[in-house]
Amino acid sequence: MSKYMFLFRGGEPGVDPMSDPAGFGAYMMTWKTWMENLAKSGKYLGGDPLEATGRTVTGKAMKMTDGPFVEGKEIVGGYVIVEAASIEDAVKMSEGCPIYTHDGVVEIRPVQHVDF
Amino acid sequence: MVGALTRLFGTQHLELAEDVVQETLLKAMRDWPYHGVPDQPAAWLHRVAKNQAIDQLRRKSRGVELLKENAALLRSEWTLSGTVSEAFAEDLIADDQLRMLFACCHPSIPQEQQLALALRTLCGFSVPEIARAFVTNEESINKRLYRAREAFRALGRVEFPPAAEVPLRLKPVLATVYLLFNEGYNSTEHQDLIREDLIEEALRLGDMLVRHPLTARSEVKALLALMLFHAARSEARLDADGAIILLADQDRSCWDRQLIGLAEGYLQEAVKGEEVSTYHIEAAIAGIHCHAPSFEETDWITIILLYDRLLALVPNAIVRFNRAIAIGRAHGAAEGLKALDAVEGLNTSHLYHAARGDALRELTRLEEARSAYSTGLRLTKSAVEGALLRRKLEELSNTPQR
Repeated sequence: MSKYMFLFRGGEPGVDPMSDPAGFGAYMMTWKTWMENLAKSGKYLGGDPLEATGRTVTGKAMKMTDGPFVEGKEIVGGYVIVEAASIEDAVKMSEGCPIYTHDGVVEIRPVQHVDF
Repeated sequence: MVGALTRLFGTQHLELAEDVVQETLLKAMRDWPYHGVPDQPAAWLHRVAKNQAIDQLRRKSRGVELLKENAALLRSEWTLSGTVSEAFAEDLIADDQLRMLFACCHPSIPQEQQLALALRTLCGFSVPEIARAFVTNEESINKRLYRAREAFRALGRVEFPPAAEVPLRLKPVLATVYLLFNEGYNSTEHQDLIREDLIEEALRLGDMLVRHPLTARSEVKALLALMLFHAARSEARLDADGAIILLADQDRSCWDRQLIGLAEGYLQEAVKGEEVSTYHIEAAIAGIHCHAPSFEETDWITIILLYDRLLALVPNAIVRFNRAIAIGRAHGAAEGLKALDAVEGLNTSHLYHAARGDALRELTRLEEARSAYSTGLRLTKSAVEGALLRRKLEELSNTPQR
């Protein structure tokens, strides 16, 4: 078993939590359902959604810029870490992820083993 | 609410669940006097409890060991709020209470602790209230709850037993509900003989059990019928001053016909099952009393037969005692007294001595009757029962010697 990180990019739900809380709630429930199924298999290790704001800090001088820093489609909107037998297995686990129905992208990256 | 939260966190975090509920109630006490009681108080409490739970989990969930299948969901912002919300969804709350009832009545928890735990977590009773209900001090209830919680924690999760185990696991659950009802119907210690709050809780739990497909079994219906038959008469049992009115003297028009009808309905359904439980028989006996036009016209012969069947299932002194009283009614005081004297093991019960006193009085053995009533009076702890015995002693003094 190895760890894999799912990075979610894009995939705007098209509902605003402020003006349509019920619609947004329904959308979040689709995420919950997907993750619950992962959790049931015991292979879901955690993760969080991320705000679209933040700071980008560069260089020794720690030069700061406000986010968002890239085009909406490319912003990392959240991450999840899972346990999978192989990259194919991990790809299969992303099936049913709600982001696919909203034109979003899941980037699946194996966690690197670092040996000294 | 404690049930919903415990299912979420796991049984080892009963205190965390209780903290959330405590905080919620405190907030209500702070808010409501200033802003008024909200339109939907229950919904308000749930919303606040939900937010409290989310807050607590955000702050504390890293360090604590949560229920395995929920841990990842509760630690992730993706799913935290949704998982907690779902646990609070209305239709799940009844299920949670039942699961909690099964957990509180788990065989690994001794019976007296089961009831204390159920009263605390399911019925929201305070420690002093439980102490009163049990005729004991707060310290011993705290000890009992502490031990119960230890055992509870070891369970890990709050869940329904597998369907095959339901009949067996139901036994302590029903015993607890009935104990709760009895404590309300015949309060051993309390100034008031009848504690409506306990009766209501017992009926509520019984109703919940009857409605759930997993637990809607014939013995459950029989128990609910039994409790409803008794509850139908509770108004007529006390006069305006809270003194006892005996079954023979009760105004039968005060009995709640609607509850009797409901009880009868459940009893009819209960007898369709293959099994005959003690609750079936006790409900049938209570039903005969409820349907009798007067005390004298009660079908005592059938009652004796029912007690015989009950004795075959539970051969104990209390059943023999009640059977002896029925014999006295059916066959006269002399037979009744003989049956009473044959009962062993009830010398410390005030009810036993009161019944002997009644029989002796009917046989005009007044001195012996006086002594029996006096013994009963010494033994009772209930103010109301004591008053009744004093009244009987007075009546005795006014009876002319023959």
